[in-house]
Amino acid sequence: MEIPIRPDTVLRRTLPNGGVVLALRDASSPTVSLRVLLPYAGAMADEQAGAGTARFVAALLIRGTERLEAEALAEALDGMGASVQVTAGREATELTARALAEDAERLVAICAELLRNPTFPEAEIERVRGEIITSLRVLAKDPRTVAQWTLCRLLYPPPHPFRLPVEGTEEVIGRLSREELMAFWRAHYGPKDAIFVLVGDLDPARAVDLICGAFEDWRVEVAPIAEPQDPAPPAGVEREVVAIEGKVQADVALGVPGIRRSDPDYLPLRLGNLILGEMGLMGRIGDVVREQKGLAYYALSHLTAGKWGGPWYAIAGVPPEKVGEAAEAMAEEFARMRGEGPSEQELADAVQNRIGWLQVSLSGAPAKAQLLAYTEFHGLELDYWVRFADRVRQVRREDIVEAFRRRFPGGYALAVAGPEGVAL
Amino acid sequence: MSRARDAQGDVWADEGDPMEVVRSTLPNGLRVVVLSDRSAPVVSFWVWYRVGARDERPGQTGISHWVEHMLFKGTPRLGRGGLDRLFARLGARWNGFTTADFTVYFETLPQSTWEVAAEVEADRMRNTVFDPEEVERERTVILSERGMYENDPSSVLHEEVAALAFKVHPYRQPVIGWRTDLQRITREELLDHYHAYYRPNNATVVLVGAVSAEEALRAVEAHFGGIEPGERPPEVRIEEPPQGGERRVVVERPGGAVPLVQMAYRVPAGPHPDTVPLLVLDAVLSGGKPLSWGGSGGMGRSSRLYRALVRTRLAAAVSSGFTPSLDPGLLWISVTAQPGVKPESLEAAVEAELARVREELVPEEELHRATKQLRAQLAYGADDASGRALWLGFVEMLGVRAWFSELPRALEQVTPEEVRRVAQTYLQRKTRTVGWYLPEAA
Repeated sequence: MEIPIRPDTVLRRTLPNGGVVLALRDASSPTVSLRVLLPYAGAMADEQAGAGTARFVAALLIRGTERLEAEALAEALDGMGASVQVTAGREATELTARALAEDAERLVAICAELLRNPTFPEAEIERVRGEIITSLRVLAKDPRTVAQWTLCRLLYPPPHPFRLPVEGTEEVIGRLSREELMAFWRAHYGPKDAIFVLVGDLDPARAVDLICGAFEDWRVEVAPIAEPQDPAPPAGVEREVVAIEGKVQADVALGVPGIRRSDPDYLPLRLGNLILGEMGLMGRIGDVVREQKGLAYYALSHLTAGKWGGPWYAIAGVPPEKVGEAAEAMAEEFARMRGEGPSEQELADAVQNRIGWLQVSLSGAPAKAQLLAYTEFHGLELDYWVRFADRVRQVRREDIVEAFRRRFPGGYALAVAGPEGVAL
Repeated sequence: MSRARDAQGDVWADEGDPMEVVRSTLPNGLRVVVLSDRSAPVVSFWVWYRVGARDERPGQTGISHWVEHMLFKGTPRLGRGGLDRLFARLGARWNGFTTADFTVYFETLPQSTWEVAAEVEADRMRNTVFDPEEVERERTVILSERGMYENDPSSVLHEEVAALAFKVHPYRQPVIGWRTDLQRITREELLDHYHAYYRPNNATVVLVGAVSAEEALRAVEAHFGGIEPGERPPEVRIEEPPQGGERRVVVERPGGAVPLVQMAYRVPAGPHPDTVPLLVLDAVLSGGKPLSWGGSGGMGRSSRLYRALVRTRLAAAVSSGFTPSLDPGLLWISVTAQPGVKPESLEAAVEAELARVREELVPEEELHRATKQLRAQLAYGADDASGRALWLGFVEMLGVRAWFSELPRALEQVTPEEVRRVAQTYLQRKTRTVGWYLPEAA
C-alpha cells in the first residue's frame, strides 16, 4: 500500500518569516485545495479577549479588504466558483478554500489579501454581529450543543480557555468594538508558525511559488499564547443539568479532560477510544446504548487530543426518562476498558481499522490538504504516515488498559441538556 | 481497456475513454454501473434500491428507513454485529441512507479488500435477519432519531410545509415517518416491505474505483448472479393534482430562538428538461450548492437572496435549493430571521426578488457566475471515489445518466430567457406553500 503523503511527494519549504509551505500534487480532479492554519489566531486567545472574539474576527475577514469591498469580494469569489471559509477553532484559525485549478493563482492572491489586509467596515461588523447573535440563540436551544458546552465548563476551571464556548457568548459578541476586533487581528494574525498547504492539480514547485509570492513578504509579529495548565480529572462525579423548554429529547455527555496529541498515551488511547465508542456502529458504547438497550439513535465517544488536549467524552441523545440509564451504561464502558481492557480481537480490529482508514481517507485534494496541515501542526515528520501502520501495530492491550487507568481514573463530569423536568 | 459486454450482449463503453462508464444488466435484472478510476487505491461500492418514502402507504410511513436500519443487524452468515466488525476491521467508510425516492448502501474501502463489499451486499439483499427483539429495540432507536429532528425547529417546520404542499402524493410523508406510525409498524410489515423491494430486479449496483470494469462485472455477477428475481414492485401512480392557490401553515411552539420562514414551490420531476435551467435559477438566487458529497459550502454571498435578506440585516441566513426527484417535487427557500424581524418582512423581501427574476432577464455576467459555481461544485464533488460514485448512482437512478458527463456543458448553455421562463412558470404565488415557525414562550 502506497501512502501519498511522504517525504518524496511533498514539497516543504520554510519561509524566512517563520511560515511553512507544503505542496502536493493530486490530479484526481481539476481543482486545488488551499489551507492556511494560523496557530495563534484561534479561540485559545479568547481567554483575554472574551469568548467568541476569534470567531467574530475570522468571520469578518471575508467582509472587505483594502482592495475589495465586501460585495466585490463576494463577486470575485463566486465568479470563480471558489469556496472560501475562515473559521476560528479552539487551537487555531484556519482558512479553507477550493477553486478550479485554472483559478489557483487568483485564489491564493485573494486569500492572502483577506488575511493580510482586512478593513473591518463598521456596517459589516454590525451585520456579522447580528448573524452570530442569532446563531448563538439557536445553539442555546440545541440540547447537544448545550450538553457539550456544559461539560467543558465543568472540566476546565478558569483561566483555562477550553471552558469558554468557541462560538462565543451573547454578552461578549454584543459588546466587542471595532477597535477590539482589529486589535485581536493585529495581535494574532501573522506568519510565525503559520502553515500554508496547497494540494491539487498543480505542479508542487508552482504551488510553492504561488504561496511564496503571496505570503513571503508578510512580516508582522504575533502575540504568544499562554500555555494552559492541564486540569486533573474530577475526583468524584460532577453533575449539571440544563433545562431547555420545548424539547422532546435530552443529550447526555460524560467525560474527563483528555490528553495532548504529543502525549505518549496518545496512540493507546486513540485505539482504545475506537473500541470504546467509534469503531463499527459507535464501538462498545454504541453497542450497549443503541444496539442492546435501544436507548438512543446516537451514542459514541470522542477523543479530542489537540495540541493542548481537549475533552475526552461519551455522548448520547436519549428520551428524558432514560438519561440516568444511558449515563450509567457509558460510565460502565469506560470502567470496563479500565478493568479488563479490550480483547485481543478488538485490538487487532482497531489496528486494521486505522491502517485501512488511512488509505480510504486519503482520497482527493481536500483530505490530503487537511492531513498535511495536521501533520505539520502537530510536529509530525513527513514519513509519519508511511510508518503509521508499524506504530499502531506496536500498541498492546496492556498499554491501552494502563492509559485508561491514568487518564480516566474514576471521576468524571456529567452534563445533561433536555426538556424541562429532565433529571439524573 | 477491452470492451465490456453485459450478459445480454449489449455494449455501451467505447475504447480509450479514460472516464468510461460501463453498464450491464444481469439475467436476474440487477443493473450494474462501473467506472474504473485509479486516482486512489480505493473502491466505492454502492447498492441503490428503488424504494423510499414515496413507496409507503399511510400508516406505514418510515418503513423504508426502518428496513434500512435492519440491514445493519446482520444475516445468518455474518451474525449479529458481524457487519460492523467486518467493515471496521477494513477501515471502510460505510453507511446507508433513505430518501423519498431511494434507499442506498455504500462502502468505500481499500482496493485490495473491495470484494467483501459485494459479498456483504449480496448477502444482506436477501438474508437480513429480522429478529423480533432487534425490531423492538430499533423502534426506540428510530423514535430517538425522530426526537432529534423534533428538537430542531427547522425540521419541524419542513415537515409541516411538505405535508401541506402535497395533498395526495407520498412526498407529503417524512422519510423518518410519523411518530404514531413508528409506534405501530409490525415486524411482519417490515418483512413484507423487505421482501417486496429488496430484489436484484429493483436494485442497481454502482462501483467506482481502482479495478477494471471486467473484474468488477465478474465479481458482481459471482456474488449477485444467483439471487432470484422477485415480482416487480408496484409502481407509484399517485399524481398530485394541480394547486389552485397558495397554502399556508403557522407552527407556534417553544424550543426555537427566532422566527423561520420556509417557502416551497412546485417544480417538475428531475428528468424534465426544465430541471437544468432551474438549477441555474437556484444558483442565481442563493449560490451554487454541492450536487454530491465533497461539494463545498461558502458560496453565494453575491447571490440575490443573500443580498436582499442577509446584507440588509433582515435575516441571519437564507438558502434555497431542490433535490431533483422521480416525481414533481419542491424548490425550497428557507430564511432564519434576525432577532426582532417579522416573518412578513422576510416573505416580502423574498417575493420582491422572485418578482425581479420573473420579470427581468438575469445579466450575462451574473448568469456566468452562477454556472461557474455549479460547474465548480460538480468538480469538487468528483474529487474522490465516494463522491463520484454517489453522483453516478444518483443520475443513473433518476434517469438522467447523460448528466454525468454532459451537465457542465448543459448548464453553460442555459440562457437568461430560459431562467426567466422557468422563474415565471414555477415561482408562482398560487403554487407555493408557505410556513412560519414562531417561537413561543413556554
